[in-house]
Amino acid sequence: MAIKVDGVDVAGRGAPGLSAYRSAQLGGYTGTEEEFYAALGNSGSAGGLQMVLLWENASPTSAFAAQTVSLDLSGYEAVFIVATAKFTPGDGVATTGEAGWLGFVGKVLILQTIEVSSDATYRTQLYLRTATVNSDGIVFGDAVQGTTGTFSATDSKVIPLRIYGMKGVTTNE
Amino acid sequence: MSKYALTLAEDGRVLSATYPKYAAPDAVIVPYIPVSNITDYIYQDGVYHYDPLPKPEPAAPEPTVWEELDAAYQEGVDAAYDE
Repeated sequence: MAIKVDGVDVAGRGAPGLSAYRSAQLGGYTGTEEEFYAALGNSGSAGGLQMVLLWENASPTSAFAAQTVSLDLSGYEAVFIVATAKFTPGDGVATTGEAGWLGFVGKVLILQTIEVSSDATYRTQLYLRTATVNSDGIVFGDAVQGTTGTFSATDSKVIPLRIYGMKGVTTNE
Repeated sequence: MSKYALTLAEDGRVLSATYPKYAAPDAVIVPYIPVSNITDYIYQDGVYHYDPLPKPEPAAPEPTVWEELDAAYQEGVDAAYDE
């Protein structure tokens, strides 16, 4: 794998035993080791991904209606949203946990969790909530729940818990 | 003492709460939030007013697989009878 610093190819695959920094030096890099790893972290290369906590729900057991959470996302390529999720298998014992979704700025993200009903049938309950990720914040829609039939609005599911800003996210698009 | 930042609807209803370090510059900063469902409250003039929204009608229970099978079977019998 080539190592790029500030967009410049400074090293190819390192010889066994050489650090990335030493390989970069052999490739012509003249900066210090600290500068090298700082630049690598800002280059979007593997290991440079940054998650910055931007918002935390201070009342996670409360309902969450449709609303806009104002955030300055101008310096981020994407967000990672963590929300409530619950799994209730056929034995009726619910496990409450979290689920997370990665969404790009400028796109609509659909947060979705499922729940197996407690009456031991195979039916699953779907919970959906939209999140439109804009550079100035996230517009959350109402959550809806349902199965294969009619869906109904609910404010008590898919409750956002934390929002992280993501830097260094690159794709091969 | 912890402080909180509120997101409010136009009528003052509390939509959500976060901590001041994550809040927008124009957020409403308060010293405390209700311990129960914060969306049951309207915040006006520095005071929380308990004003819960009406509860939605409970959804009809989903039919079980056996009930669906029974209905499908019954429908099939009736269809055959009609022919």
